[in-house]
Formats: sequence, structure tokens, C-alpha cells
Amino acid sequence: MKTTVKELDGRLVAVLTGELDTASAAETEAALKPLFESTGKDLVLDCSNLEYIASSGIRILVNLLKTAKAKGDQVVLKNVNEVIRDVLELTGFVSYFDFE
Amino acid sequence: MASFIDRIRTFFMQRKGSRLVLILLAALFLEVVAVVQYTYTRNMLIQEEERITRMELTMESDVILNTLREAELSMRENEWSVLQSLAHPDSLFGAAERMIESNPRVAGACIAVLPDYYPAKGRLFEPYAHKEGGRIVVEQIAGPDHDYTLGPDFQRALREEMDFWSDPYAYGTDPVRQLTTYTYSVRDRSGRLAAICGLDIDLTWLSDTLNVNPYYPSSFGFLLTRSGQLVAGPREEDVPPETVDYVAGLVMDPTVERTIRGRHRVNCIVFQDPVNGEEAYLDFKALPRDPGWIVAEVSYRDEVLAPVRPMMWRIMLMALAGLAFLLFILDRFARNGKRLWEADVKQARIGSELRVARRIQEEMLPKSSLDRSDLTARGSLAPAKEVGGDLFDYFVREGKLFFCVGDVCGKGVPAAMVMAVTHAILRMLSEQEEAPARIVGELNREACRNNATGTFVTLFLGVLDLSTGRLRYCNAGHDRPILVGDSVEELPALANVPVGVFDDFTYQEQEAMVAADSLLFLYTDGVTESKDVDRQQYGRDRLLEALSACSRKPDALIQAVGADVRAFAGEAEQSDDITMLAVHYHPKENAKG
Repeated sequence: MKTTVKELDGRLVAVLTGELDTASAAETEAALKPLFESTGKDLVLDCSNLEYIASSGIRILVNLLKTAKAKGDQVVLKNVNEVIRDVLELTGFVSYFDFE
Repeated sequence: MASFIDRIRTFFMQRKGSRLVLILLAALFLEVVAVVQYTYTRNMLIQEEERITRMELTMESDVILNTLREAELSMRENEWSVLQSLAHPDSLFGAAERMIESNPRVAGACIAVLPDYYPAKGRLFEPYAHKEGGRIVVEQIAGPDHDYTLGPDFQRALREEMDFWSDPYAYGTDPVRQLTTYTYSVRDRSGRLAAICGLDIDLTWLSDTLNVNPYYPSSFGFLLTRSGQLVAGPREEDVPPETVDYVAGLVMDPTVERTIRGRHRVNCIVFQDPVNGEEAYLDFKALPRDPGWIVAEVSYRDEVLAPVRPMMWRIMLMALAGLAFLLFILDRFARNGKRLWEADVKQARIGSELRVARRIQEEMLPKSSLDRSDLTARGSLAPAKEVGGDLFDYFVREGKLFFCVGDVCGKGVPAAMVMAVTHAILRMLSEQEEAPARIVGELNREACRNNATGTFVTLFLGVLDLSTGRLRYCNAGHDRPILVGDSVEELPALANVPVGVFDDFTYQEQEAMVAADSLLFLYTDGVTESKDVDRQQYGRDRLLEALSACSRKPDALIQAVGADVRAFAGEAEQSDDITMLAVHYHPKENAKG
């Protein structure tokens, strides 16, 4: 699992690559720290190369969503594959995120 | 999750004295859970008291109104006989007698003729019939000692020219009886006011009606007039008169704070009994028509809340069990601390201690399969680490099977702690409530209350009515269960979010019919996301295929699916907890074999 964060067009973009499972959750959460601490910018999680997400991964996304919404910022999930979208639908979170 | 473990570890290594603080915090958390449950149950019991009292008050008010209405009706029925008799004053005695005969609750009937209506009978003439020792006595009672034209009821009837019920009054000496009089006026054929009739109704029976078989042992009822006079109440040997006087005073005192509930307009006052000092509820309502008397009932709080006490013990016991579990794990962490976490050689020891923790955790799950004539259920949980974050449960209460499977995000000790608390709360809620969405909603509010790490639980909760096969369920973000019947398919599931995320989320309930000889299979994603050495997932399709090939005996089915998953994973390490629950519904009448 690899996570890189960059700023693009005034938005903070994190590119997630690999499988976000329980084992890599803590490391990913630490890598996303700039997103958790940001204020006033919309956040983008680029999931083009994210193959799989476990419930501990969903927990990070939801915590990020709650933190951002509290500050009035949006969280956008970009290029989510079908497997991950299924998980988000099953857990009812699909209506809380924006998709690109 | 690993960072959480790190934090605990650092905490112990740096500040040994703080270990106690952490344990105390954990204990405090569990006690808070227990108190929340206690409050919830208590509120339910208070609502129950409101419902019962409302019902009793409405019933009593109906009984009183019916009795009065019956008396009014028998009056109407006899009106013609009075009219007929007006032409012959002496036949009015017979008319009065008939008024008594027509209704057993009527104790006396009088026909007070207007002064000088019959010149031959003198100025006053009042035939009166009443019961005396089982016989009906009829006599003329007007005279110099008894000038009825001075009586308040007579004067009111002349003044208002309408029917009314008098306030109750005591009559006779042995025994003293409570009477009330229905007064109405009669006109002769020429339209001239001829007489004022009165019908005495005995109310002595009311006290017994109000106080027969109270729902709470010390509850009592009473009846007041509009002006606060006591018409009927409990016997003196049951309730001290001071108490009755005091509560009657509360009803009449508009400055006493009260709440008014529901369309039945029941008033409620909370007060302290001046005699025994106990807290009590006073509920009352006015009869919706004349005479507007007030029916009231008093219940003592100790008795209303009595059922909460044994429950409190159970809650404490569960909280203690959970606490023992937590203490055990925390203690292991603390003792072994740095040494064991760093030295691979000694990890075996942690392993053996965590295996004990695992046994404690297993104790919280149902210990055996459920074998009944109409149902067989079995669950299995194989944690990836020594302790797991999955849970399952099933039990039958009042002809309904409650069953659930849940998955705490993450695994290992932190997930196991959340699992232990969730499981305990879920059990307690399911003992009092049977609507799945309400149970899940309540659990969610509790889970959100103390959730700093954002840990959540996906959960499926079902309640199967064993007599009809009707299944009510709520799916909080969990994998859809599979229904194996004529075909093998997933139960439809609405997108409810997992428990512990949004405290104001409204959980939706769904329903399905489970046909006889069908099997419900519930699982956690550890099953479908098991990986082989090439990191391929076992997947839902393989699961559906395995299920359609299996026997519907839960024991055999769980073994077969478990074996299939293991065979698929091969040498690969198990990465997540694997939990399965199978429920085979086979009611006798329709079973295929």
C-alpha cells in the first residue's frame, strides 16, 4: 500500500495505490495526516489504483469525511472501481461522498 | 489499529502508575453503559405505568358514565307513566314505585309536585318510594317538617329547567350510604310545569369498583366531585385518610405543577406521600360530561419500577464479566510490556495468555447449537488473531428467534474490546425490545456516545417469528445474508450505515417471509475475502455455489463451507476473523422430512 499527497488546482489530492486492508490501515491513516489537518480545501482521494478496501480502510475514509464536513470541506472519491463502490453501497456510505 | 496498541504500550512503559487510571477509566465506561441501560428500562416502565393508568381511568370513567346514563334512561322510560298519572294524584305512588323497579341501582324515587297543583291534597304533595329491608315502601313525605320547595335541588330545577346530577351526599345511619340524585322536571299536557322528579342512585359500590385488583399492589383510586368532595375512595384500613385528603387537595389546587397527556387529557402530578414519605404518581381525568366528576389514581414509584431491580443485577453482572475480560487483557499488556513485545522468543507466552482471553471471549458466544422441533441454529467464529472482532448470537424469546452477526472494523485486542461491549449492550436491548431497527438504533446511539477512534460495527439483526415464518430485520452495513430455499439468493438490504458512525442516523427495518425448510446463512467478510497465495479472494460466487451444494443441517453446512474456504486459501495465512451463522427453519406441519 502506497499513499502520496499533493496539491492540485487548489485541492488536496491523495493517491492511494494497492490494497487498503487492516494491516496497512495505520500506515495509511498516518500518511493522510495532511488531509485530516487541512482546512478550506476540498479533499480528493484518487482511487484509480486502489484495488481493495477492508472495513478498517472504510473507517479512515469515514473519519476523514466527518472531519472535513465539520470544517465545511468536501471529500471526493475519484475513479472508484466497482468492488470498492459495492462495499460503499453495502455500508450505506455511498450517499455521503462525492464521486468523480 | 496498530497505533492504538502502540499508544497503550507506550502509556504503560512510561508511566506505570497510570495503569490504574486506565483500568479505572475502562471500569467507568462499563458502568456508564450499565447506567444508560438502567435509565432506558426505567423510562419504559414509567411509560408502561402511564399506559396502564390511562386505560384504567378511561375504563372507570366509562363504568360511572354508563351507570349514570342507565339511570337517566330508566327515568325517560318511566316519564310517560308519570305523565299518565298526573291526572290522578294517587296513582303517582305507583309511578314512583315503577321507577325503582326498573333499575337495581336506584335506591329511591320522589315526585315533588309543584305547590297547590292538586288543591285537594293541600299545598304540598310528594309521593316517595324507597327500598327498605328488601321491600319497596311508598309514602307521602311532604309536610310541615319537610317542605321540599326549600330544597336546593328543587329550587335549581325551577331556576334552570334542565336535568342535572346532584353532588353526592351521605344518607341513612346503618349503613351510611353515598347517594346522588338525578333531578328533572315534568310538564303536564297543557305545558304547565307540574312536578320535579328525583331519582336517588346508590354510589356505595363505586369504592369497590375503583379499588378492585389494582395493577400495582398499593395503588388506589378515588372519585371527586367538581368541587373536590370525595365521592368514593379506598377503605380506611388500606390507605390512611390523611393520604386521600392530601391527594384530593393536590387535584383541586391549580398551583400544583401538573402535566397533561394525550387525547384523553389525563393530568399527572408527581408528589411525595405525606404519611409514608414515598414518591408517587397521581393521575386523574374529569368525566367528559355532567356531572363532571374527577376519577383519579395513585401509584407508588417503588412498585412501578420494581421490575428494574432484578434487571439491574443482570446488567451489573454482565458489566462485571466484561470488566474482568478487559482487566485480564490490560493486565497482560502491562506485565509483559516492552520485554515480550520485543523478544520474538517470548511471543509464545503472550500467545498462550491471549488464548485464555480467547476462551473468555468464546464464553460470551452461544455455547451450543440451538436444537428445537421447529428450528436448528448454529454459529462458528474463527478469529484471525487470538481474539476476534466478530460476534454472533441467537436466542429464542416469546416464540421469536433473535439472531445477529456483527463485524467490528479492525481486529485483535481493540476490536475485541468493542465487540465485548457491543455484544453485551445488544443482548440487553434484545431482552426488552423486538423491533430490529429500534434495537440497532439504540445500540448506535450508545456506540456513538463513546467513540473517539471512529471504530464502527457492521451488523445484521433478525427477529424470526417461529409461528409464521415472518422475518423482521435490520441490516447496518453488513454483508447481505443468503437465503437457501427453492433457490439460493441474497436477502435484499437497504443501505443503512454501520453502527457507531452517525448518532442521528435512522435505521430502516425490512421484512421477508421465510418458507418452511429454508435456511438463512449469515457471515462476515472474512469468509468472502479469504485469500489464496495469489491474493485472489474466495468471493461471493464461490460461497453461493458451496451453499447450494450443502445439506441444510447447520452443523454439516458450516463445516462444509469452512472446509471449502480453507481448501481455497491453501497455504495462505488467515487474514480476518471468519464467522458463520446458519439458521434452519423447519416448522413441524410443513417440513418436507
